Amino acid sequence: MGISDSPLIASIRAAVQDRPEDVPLRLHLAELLLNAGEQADAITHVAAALQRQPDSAAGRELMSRAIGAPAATASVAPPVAPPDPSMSVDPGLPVEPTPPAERVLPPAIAPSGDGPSVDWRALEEELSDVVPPRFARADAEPDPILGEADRAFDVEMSRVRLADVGGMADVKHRLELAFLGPLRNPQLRAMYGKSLRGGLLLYGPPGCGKTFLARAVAGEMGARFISLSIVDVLNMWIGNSEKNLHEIFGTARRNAPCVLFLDEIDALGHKRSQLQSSAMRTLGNQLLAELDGMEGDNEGVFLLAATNAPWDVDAALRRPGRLDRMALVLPPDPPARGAILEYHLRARPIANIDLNRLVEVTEHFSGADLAHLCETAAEHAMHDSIASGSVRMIEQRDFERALREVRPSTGPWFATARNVAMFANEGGSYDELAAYLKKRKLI
Amino acid sequence: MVDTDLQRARALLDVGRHDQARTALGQYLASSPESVEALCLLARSHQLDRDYHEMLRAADQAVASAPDSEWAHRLRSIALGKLRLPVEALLAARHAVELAPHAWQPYVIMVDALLATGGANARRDAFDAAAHAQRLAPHEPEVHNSRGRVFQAISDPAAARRSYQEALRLDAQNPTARNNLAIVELRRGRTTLAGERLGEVLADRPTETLYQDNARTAARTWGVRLMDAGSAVFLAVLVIALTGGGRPVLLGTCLTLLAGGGVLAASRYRRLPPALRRLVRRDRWPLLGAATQATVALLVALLWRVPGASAALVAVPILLAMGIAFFTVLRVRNRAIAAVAVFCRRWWYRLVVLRRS
Repeated sequence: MGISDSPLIASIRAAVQDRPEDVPLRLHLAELLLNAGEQADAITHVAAALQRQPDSAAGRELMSRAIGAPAATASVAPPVAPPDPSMSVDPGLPVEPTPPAERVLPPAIAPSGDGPSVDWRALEEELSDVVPPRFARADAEPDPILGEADRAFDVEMSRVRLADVGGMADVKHRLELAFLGPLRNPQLRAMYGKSLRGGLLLYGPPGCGKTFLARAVAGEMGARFISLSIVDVLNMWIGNSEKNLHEIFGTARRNAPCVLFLDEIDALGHKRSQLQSSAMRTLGNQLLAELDGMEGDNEGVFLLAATNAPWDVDAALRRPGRLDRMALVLPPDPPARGAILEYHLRARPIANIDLNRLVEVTEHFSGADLAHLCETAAEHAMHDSIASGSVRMIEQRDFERALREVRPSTGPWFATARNVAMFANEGGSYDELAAYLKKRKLI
Repeated sequence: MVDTDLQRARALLDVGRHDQARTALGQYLASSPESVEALCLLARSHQLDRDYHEMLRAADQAVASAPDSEWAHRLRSIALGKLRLPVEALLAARHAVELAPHAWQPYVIMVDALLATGGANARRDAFDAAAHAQRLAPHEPEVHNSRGRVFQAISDPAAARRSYQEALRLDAQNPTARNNLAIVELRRGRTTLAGERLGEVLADRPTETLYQDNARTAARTWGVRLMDAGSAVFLAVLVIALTGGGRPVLLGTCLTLLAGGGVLAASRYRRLPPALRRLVRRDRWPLLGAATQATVALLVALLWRVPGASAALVAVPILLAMGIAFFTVLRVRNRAIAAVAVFCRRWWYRLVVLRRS
């Protein structure tokens, strides 16, 4: 809030905060701010309004005023122009650094003889600082660290913390004991001779946040994060897999402490007895060699792996020193479900939603299912708005309708897991799963 | 690039990513729609998903684009067999054999097709085909598994067991051989051994529905055997009672048999893997039947000719006893008939049918 806010601006600002989707109100605020000389603040609000209504002529005019450019009217600059690849400075598209000589400006805003020229790149950079993203990334997408541009993977720094992960108290506790505690207490670690190597296998139904949790661990440790999945291996590496795998581990060792996340480990480290392709078998052997540190010292390389099918993972991968611990990542518990629903509704127009009831009836829903539920409810509200011609909020009835359509996707996984807990739990690997299934009377 | 798609598809199939494999195959087939290898891999992906209609469709396409591909005919035969079209499956298998008479795989497929058609002649042909496959590739476990299936079909469990054991000697983890060996043991009445073997197979492949079903069958059979033991105790008590044995003899015999049987059953039960034990516990009817028979036997021993016992007190166990005896005799008779039939069948095949091959 600007320090020179008049009472009018302050009250409209409060109203905008209450109703962020109200574009005319926001534009009104922006105009008042502009008149009051608070240009940056005005730009923020106009940009937010234009994100909601990109074709708002008033918004565009106000933006032009705010940035000091001549007003773009509909006659010279159609507000919704078809995308043209040559228009590298279209404000709606990300700006690629282009040599000035090759830049092609749209006719309506090309510098004319004596008019002021517009530095669109500068504007983009300015806006990128002040305009909040439409959908907050919740720090879930870490920024890549640049360098070694030719490699097929990125070393990232994650800003997600375990506190950002809803629920999963048991898993967090286990992570604390296995990884985070020893890392934070180097002297205790040395005293007990605890090594900073080893791995944890996260398993559970799809869509329950295993990958997110892995990023959170990396963020919590302040460690770098490298992610690798079977898709990377097969899409980019065919014929070169072992070399690239070695390179990945080498990079992880050089960047220690580093979390190396192997997604879909059941594919990367599939039971070798079931493999017919020699390429995949060789890849599995190379993975084992790297895990054992035969190709280098793995001190400080934390291995996290995730899978929906731990029963397909080669037993050799689960031996001590490799992925020697397993943690079950279950569908979110009630508090986590509430948090997830709130997260997915944070930027949507909602009214009178009974969150407690939604939490109650969404047992066994994964995080992805909950996101889908919100999406479906929004679709219903939007469809009604279009059909009736009057815009309305997302209401409880939309969720009730959505609940009739969206079913938890975790059912098939639990059906399979039930058999695994019954037939393949000789060594007690799936005790946690068996206990959960027993508690839910699924076994 | 195109070859990479095929490699990728093959690898994805290997690691159970069937949908992704189909996507890669789709990309490949877009540029090479006639590729028999891609079409066969597509059929294989559907086979792994147990979608046999789609498998047949892809195999048909493969055969249309390369009529001389034995792999395509072989896949077609498998699909037709799964769709319960045994005659067509056999024709496709014969095509595959004609196209690749020196490969063992078409013979194995033909064995299955022949066994599915049924009949003595078909079994004899299957026996010959399996023997030929074994001569072609004696180091291949699947050949021995195929031969084991033929022996099972002609009711020769000892020979079947030898074949599966040979397959296991070549590949100690071979799940087909382990499962089929368990089935042989189960059919021979060695339920505990069968349960142990199935437990091992399931520990390795817990998601295979066939092995799960077999384990359930083994658990139920184990329970039924327990019920049979209860029947035997009861019949022994009844025979002693009817032949005029005194109450102390009756009671002593009953308690001894029950205690002995209980100890034996407990030791057998402990030998079962935990998963099988759970299945046995879950299937309550046989256990309830065994417990009922043991209780009735004890009641008969206790109440037989007790002075002053009311008529009802004596009549109820006797009526129960008659009912149980009836069903026990019925079961024993059926089993005896089945055993004789198996015996006759085995020797008929050995002495008559297989001699003509």
